[in-house]
Amino acid sequence: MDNFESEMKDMFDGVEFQPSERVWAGVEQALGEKKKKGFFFMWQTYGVAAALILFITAGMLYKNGLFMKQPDALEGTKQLTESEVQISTDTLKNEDGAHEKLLAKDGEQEELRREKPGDQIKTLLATKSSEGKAQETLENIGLKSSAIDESVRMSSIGESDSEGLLIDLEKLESKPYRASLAATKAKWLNRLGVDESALAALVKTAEEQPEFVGENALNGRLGNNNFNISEPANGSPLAARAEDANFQAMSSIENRKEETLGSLSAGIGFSLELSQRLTLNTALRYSELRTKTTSNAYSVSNGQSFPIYLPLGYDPDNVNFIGTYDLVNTLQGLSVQPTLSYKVAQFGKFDVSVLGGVGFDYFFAYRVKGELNFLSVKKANLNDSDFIKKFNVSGITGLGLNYRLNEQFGLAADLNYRYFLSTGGGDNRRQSSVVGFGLGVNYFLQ
Amino acid sequence: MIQDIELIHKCIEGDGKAQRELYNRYAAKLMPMAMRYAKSQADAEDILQDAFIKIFNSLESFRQEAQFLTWLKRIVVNTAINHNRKKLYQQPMLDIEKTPLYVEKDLVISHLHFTEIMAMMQKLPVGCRTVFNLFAIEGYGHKEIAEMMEITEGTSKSQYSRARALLKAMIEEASTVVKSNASM
Repeated sequence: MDNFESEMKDMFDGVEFQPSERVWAGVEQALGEKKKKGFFFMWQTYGVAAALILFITAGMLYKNGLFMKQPDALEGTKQLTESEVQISTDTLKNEDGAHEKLLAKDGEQEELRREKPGDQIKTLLATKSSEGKAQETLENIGLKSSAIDESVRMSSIGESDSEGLLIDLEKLESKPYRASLAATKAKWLNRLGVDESALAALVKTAEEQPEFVGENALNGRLGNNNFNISEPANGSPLAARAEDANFQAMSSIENRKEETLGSLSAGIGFSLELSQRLTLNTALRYSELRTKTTSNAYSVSNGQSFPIYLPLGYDPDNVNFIGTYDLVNTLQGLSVQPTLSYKVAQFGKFDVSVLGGVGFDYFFAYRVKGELNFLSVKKANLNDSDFIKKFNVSGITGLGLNYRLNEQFGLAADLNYRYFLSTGGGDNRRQSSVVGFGLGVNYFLQ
Repeated sequence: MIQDIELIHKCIEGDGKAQRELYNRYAAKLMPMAMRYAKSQADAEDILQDAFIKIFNSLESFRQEAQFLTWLKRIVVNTAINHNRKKLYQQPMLDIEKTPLYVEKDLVISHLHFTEIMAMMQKLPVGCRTVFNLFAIEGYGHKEIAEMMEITEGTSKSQYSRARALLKAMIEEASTVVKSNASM
């Protein structure tokens, strides 16, 4: 290197030149878009995951009885009520006056059936106490005198004898497991000395399964998809185009292997309960399936700059190379998904199901967005290529978690896996799958 | 003034003010570099914009053992090479045997302003301009340049010789004009 090179180097040493404001504007825009997108995907992915964890935690807490209401008219309790009423009917047959009045009319008996056990006995005791025959009546329905004495002792805290006994009996209703409430109550009654035949009848009634009545439900669901797609089976489409005239330019364009990105799905559905464990579901869903890759070039067409994603092709005469930038590819589709779910476990208002079924997909758009502010979104015409088959079939399997809020509404969460038979056609055959999870609301039809 | 390293950490955390501060601190220093590789100021601004986007997206990969300005310059150079790559293919570079011989003369350029030299460099064919910048200003060897530009070492040398000859011719012409103006 002689003086010429040294002088040239010195001439540019420490030189500064202020660029125009448009440079920063472009940089700022590019950085802003990235931040915005990052937050959006973070919300989708981690938000739904957090909600699932919340549900599972709530389930565990529920199992431990933390959400349990003390007095509640529930299915198991209703069955118990019927048996208790029967006991009352049998034992009070020969009682005089007020008790016969209680049972004489069908309407009144029905009213008694709807009452909670504690309320029935309260009614009973109120009547008997007023006549000074409470102890006698309790003996008639099978309670031993020692148990009555204990109840009477406790009743000294309250305002009346009957109130004290009720405190004791209502404790029996505070167990969290409604299905086992009757059995638990039977144990307590046994301890209190209820006679064996009455107890056997009581336990038998408690163990009887209620007659199955299937429920139908409408549901809405919002979820997150993670799309995995393989390279084309017959090699990169780039190889097929490498014989074009401008080989050198084309061979320098690079797209990195596609990575999955979280994306949105939303849908509505209908569920039909076929048996206590089996449910048929149908759903219509809109899905966005996204992947991320990179490019190092863009093409210009009709005054617009478009990112280059090799499988979609480009104009080789209008290629501009720039630094590597990110591409986000989005496949939009609608699918009909009939599935069968099988309830494998139930914990109170929670149940867990496994599901399997088929998805019939219609893909209507494919968009390629370059993460540089001056690039327009490139849209693929799926009618003109085998890049993505417009119609597709997928197999679906998954796990569902349901929580019944009340008679009309329930919440649902699911984790599912969909495997597409073949995403591309011809030389572009590509294996792809989706892992998704979502949250939904069920509305039970009366 | 806030140190570079603190500014970098803030930029990584997504602090918009810090990003603007970092840009203000280095944009004017890097712009002449982009101009040397570009054929116009607008072209240079495109290069600088892409370079800064890459810089902010890859700040986490900056290792403190390297000088920050050196790291920034390397990104601008790589961005400029990528930017010029298509033009390089469209204007195939000659190898050394095809380069016209030039009779060397000692030239003084100190009387010229850097903008004049810049304008001359921008008139060079894209291959010559890129190789001249990489070799004479950035200080890369021909072997490194060959790898960076995906050309042979011979082509790099021939492009450099051609650039040198063309620049000297332009400088000589400019000097002659200056002398004749002075004698008038």
